Amino acid sequence: MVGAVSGLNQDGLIAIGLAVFPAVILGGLDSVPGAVVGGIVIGILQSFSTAYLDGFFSQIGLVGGGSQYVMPFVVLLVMLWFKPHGLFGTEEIERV
Amino acid sequence: MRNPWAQTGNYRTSYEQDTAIFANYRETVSVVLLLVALCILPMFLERSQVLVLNFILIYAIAVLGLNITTGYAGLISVGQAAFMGVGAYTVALSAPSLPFWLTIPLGGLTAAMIGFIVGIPSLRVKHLYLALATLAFQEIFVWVVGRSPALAQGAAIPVEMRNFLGLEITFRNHNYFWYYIILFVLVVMVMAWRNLLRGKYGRALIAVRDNDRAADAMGMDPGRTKLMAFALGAFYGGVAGGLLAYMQRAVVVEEFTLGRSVVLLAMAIVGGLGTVVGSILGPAFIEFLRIYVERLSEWMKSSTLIQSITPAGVDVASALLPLSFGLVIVLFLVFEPRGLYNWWRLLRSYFRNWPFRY
Repeated sequence: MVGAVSGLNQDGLIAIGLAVFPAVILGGLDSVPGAVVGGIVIGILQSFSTAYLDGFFSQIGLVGGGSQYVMPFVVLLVMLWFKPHGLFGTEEIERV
Repeated sequence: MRNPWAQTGNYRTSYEQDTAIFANYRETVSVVLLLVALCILPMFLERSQVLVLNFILIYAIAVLGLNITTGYAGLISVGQAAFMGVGAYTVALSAPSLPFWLTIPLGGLTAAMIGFIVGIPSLRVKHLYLALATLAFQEIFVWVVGRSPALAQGAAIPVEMRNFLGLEITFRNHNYFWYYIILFVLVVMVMAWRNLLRGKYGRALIAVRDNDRAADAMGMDPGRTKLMAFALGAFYGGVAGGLLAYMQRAVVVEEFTLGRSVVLLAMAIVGGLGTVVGSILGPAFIEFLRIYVERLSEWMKSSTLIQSITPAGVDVASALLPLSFGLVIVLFLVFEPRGLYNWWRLLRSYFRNWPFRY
């Protein structure tokens, strides 16, 4: 699919492979609808951050933009802090 | 003890003996001999060979840190290279105004602070989730450094040190000088490692690794222990990164990417998690593997016989390095999960019990 959309190269594949983790954590690791929703949200987030955030980052002194590569990981961190099981994942209950 | 040199095993009758740094007389002697050997080793080596040794020792420091987070506390971290990067960039920014014996600990402390923050998710999540949190930190670090004008957008920042106490450091003696500095730092760090982990804190780390809820019930604070493990591991990484910056005379972001983090984790696994010997054997094994495989692929590129066997358009030679790395990691995980340290242990016990089998 990636190859069909944007052509095949190794770096692109690695970037996609890494962006999968935020998507799947956002949706919840054990949930199929979550994976779909997470993928869509992360994809939209990437495009929106290219459009809106790159200009902001260059204003505060970070050059070159490319925030679409880092925003998914920021979302991943925030999710892990506040809702580690994702939007639709089941919460694990642990015993000693 | 009556005849310490004739001791055949470890008879532990008290807690002090159990936590001793050197279990017996023979270990003390062998460590001293090893240190003397390492001190005179550069006299027989060329400049490029000392460089390889330097890299091995620097990675050994970083892997020691990883062995606290991953080996002792069981928190899988794929961000160790980023912690090295934090240390290296701290050194690069403070080197013009401070001497190196201040910048390197400063790099370690900065990395420890960042490690503390990165460790915060470990209060709630573990295993895969935690690995993903460190992965996120690794990616964010590379991105921030690569975009900051203050850090040359990840391009080389020179780190110069021309003389030390009147000794002029030139192109010729640079590697030798830093070899001794790195060796000294490594010895200090190993002593600190043993000293820290043999007592209360080390046991708390092991208890939290094995079952953090049980550790909580026994009166330890798993959250604080995990954060301490992260901060300590990051401190070791930061110190290693600072040394790397001085030794390479420059800092580049390519040194501190996800790939390097994975290689550091591989070094820790190949060496044997949670052991000092393993944290030195692991980097040595991986570095020598890299050097010899690179040599082999050079030879394969030049040899016409190999060229005629392999299909046209398939570059076997440059695929050899990633292939051998992956193969070594998988083989170690399958056949020797305890790593090279286990071989070392078996070898030592063979010689100790000789001529008896056990």
